[in-house]
Amino acid sequence: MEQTRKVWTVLTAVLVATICVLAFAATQTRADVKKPSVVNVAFISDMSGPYAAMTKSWAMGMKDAIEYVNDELNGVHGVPMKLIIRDTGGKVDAAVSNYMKLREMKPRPLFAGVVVSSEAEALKERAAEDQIPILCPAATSAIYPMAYNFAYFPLYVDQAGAFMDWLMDNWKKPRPPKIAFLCWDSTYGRAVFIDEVRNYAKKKGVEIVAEEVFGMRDVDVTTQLTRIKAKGADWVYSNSTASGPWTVAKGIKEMGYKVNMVTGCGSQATNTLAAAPPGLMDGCYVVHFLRSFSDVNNPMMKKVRKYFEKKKRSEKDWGLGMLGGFWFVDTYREAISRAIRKVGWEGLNGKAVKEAMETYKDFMPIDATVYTYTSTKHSPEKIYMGRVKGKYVMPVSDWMVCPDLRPAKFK
Amino acid sequence: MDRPCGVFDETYTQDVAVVRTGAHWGIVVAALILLFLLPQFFPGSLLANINAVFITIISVLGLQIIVGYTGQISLGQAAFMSVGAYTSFMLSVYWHLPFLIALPLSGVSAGLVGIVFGLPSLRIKGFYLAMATLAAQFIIPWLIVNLYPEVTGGTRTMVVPPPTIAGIKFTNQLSMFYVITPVLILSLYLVKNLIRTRVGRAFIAIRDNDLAAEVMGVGVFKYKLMAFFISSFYAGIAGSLWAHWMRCVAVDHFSLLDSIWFLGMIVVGGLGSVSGAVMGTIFIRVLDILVKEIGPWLGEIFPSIAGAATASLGPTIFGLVMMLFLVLEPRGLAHRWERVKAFYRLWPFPY
Repeated sequence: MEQTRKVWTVLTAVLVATICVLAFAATQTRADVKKPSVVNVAFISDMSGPYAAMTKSWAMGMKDAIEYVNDELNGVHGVPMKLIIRDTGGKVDAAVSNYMKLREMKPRPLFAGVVVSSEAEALKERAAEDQIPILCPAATSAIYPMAYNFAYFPLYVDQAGAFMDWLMDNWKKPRPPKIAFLCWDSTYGRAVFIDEVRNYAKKKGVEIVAEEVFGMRDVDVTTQLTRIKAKGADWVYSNSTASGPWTVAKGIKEMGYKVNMVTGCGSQATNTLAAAPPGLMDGCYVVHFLRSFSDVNNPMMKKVRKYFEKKKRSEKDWGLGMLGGFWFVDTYREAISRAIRKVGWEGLNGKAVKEAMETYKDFMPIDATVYTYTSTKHSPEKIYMGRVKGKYVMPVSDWMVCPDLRPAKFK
Repeated sequence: MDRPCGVFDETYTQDVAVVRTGAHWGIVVAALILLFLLPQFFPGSLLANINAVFITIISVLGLQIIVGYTGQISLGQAAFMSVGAYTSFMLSVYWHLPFLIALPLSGVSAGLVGIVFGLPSLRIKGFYLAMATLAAQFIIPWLIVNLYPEVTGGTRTMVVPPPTIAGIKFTNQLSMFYVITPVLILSLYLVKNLIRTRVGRAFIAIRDNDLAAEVMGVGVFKYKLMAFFISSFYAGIAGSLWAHWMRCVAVDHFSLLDSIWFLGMIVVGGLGSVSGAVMGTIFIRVLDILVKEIGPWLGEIFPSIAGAATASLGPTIFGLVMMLFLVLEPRGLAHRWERVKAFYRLWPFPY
């Protein structure tokens, strides 16, 4: 009897051990099989057209960032990241064909960055069908109605609202402040000309005295500034990028017009400051979303610089674009990592990555900016006000939460 | 045109036929079969490029009529495309008209707008007409953005539904290929024949010498306006296809730069030639794609000039190609192709 019990005990132990070993082996095998050799991410942008001046350093920054992630952070959960860069030349049809090429890749890119508003809008529906999250500029129509597009800074309308908040907090005169918009005549520039912004201004006690536009290729805005001056504006707010803010700043200086100038985030996401003629942008206020670029002692800033120097890049390319590359890659990496933690390698797809993005709560890619996304809001909400000094933006406020000025139908 | 040895025309029908010999027919039929079968095996990215090229060819064909055949310069072809694209968007979205009705109506609306900008052509020509048509490239986008922004969307990108024919939705690149290609073939056929009609000959007479044409009884103003209408009609058709293919439309999609590229395409292909419009478009488009591939690759090799190399390569090569063609082959690729064909048609005889 005792002998039989011993035999059964041993047999049971062997059986349990075998099951455990087999189960473990099976798990390991499944994990090995499902784990890809590379995680593809993409960057689609105009690098040989009108936006080239600002996107070139962005692409360089992304390349450096991928190298940093793979060399120093062991990729994403041990799998190296691979960056695919596609140039659109500023043509929307090229953005579509490049996107088609990406979606046919194996493994399909889990994330893509697009920095031209019209291209992001053109790809929005396709990306939603293919379930590829896209990090893109903050034109309202590029993000809402909700799809797979995520804004990489607060909506342009929200930025304008945040500026008004800050302005009213610091306004000392007895009369209401007067602001004039002088923006690019494009999807991006005109994004702030909506009733939600006008109503918010009224609510805050800010008077909008002008809504002027200028062409993306214009080099003179004296006519618009003359009209703005006649209306007694205290502030000129410009939603423009690349050479746009220079044109406005140049016009103000040439006219000897004593007015404060402020630009939206869009101008700062690029090389606008770095490439500006010396002194031209000095004193300009910016609604800003990247902290570290003005903080040269920041460890991440040093890291970006290290790779910049290692690659012997031209000093002309040193600017926010380089940082932009790192912050994009860090955002990609974090979302993909979170998705893997939640669904494992076998369940990893664009939908899982999008859902992981929607869990961001005050996430700070490379300590530079603050992202909070939810399943009902794909645009972040934190900015701060800064002032330009040389190539840098010096903070003049703490992080602020932007008002939500999305049109009601998108809330 | 030269015939292969032993091939003679015995009737006028044979003399004016586009497809002349049995072998010629065989090639045409085989090409059509291949054109419709091969895309089944193409990846979506290649098809996306092909679709973009085919739409561009339709627009460039229109430009060929006004520039190549009638001798009038137009710098507003992209703007006329935008008229077609926005017409198609509004007819589809607000009026819920079927694609097959919206398509020709888009052509007609663009054609009518083309007539307006063609009006100065009676009094002015050459450089001055170029300036007048250039105005279209500024006025039309301004009107789209400012006239009824609540209808057009202003500067916003508006979503356009994919084409639906007989209940079938054409959503992917392959299905769109089968929408775009028949329109392209029909366009080619119509232009090829238009040029051989009384109207086409009037266009050519105006191009060669408008004064002489008028003396011979050609109504110069009428035919110039007709040329503007037909040219813009083609642009409108291309714009409509563009909007439904892109599934969105924005005023930024149709820039002055595009109009200049279209002109470059007919210069490279050959002015006054249908095949020139096709070859020029394909050549420039392929060149553009190659440049975009080479740019980043150069950046990898020379990181210190990466940005500049990528940014400047496209315009530099485009300009260089224009110069080379104008100096070395002003009659374009079509002429070169005719010479190659003539050589093989007569080979091995030297006459």
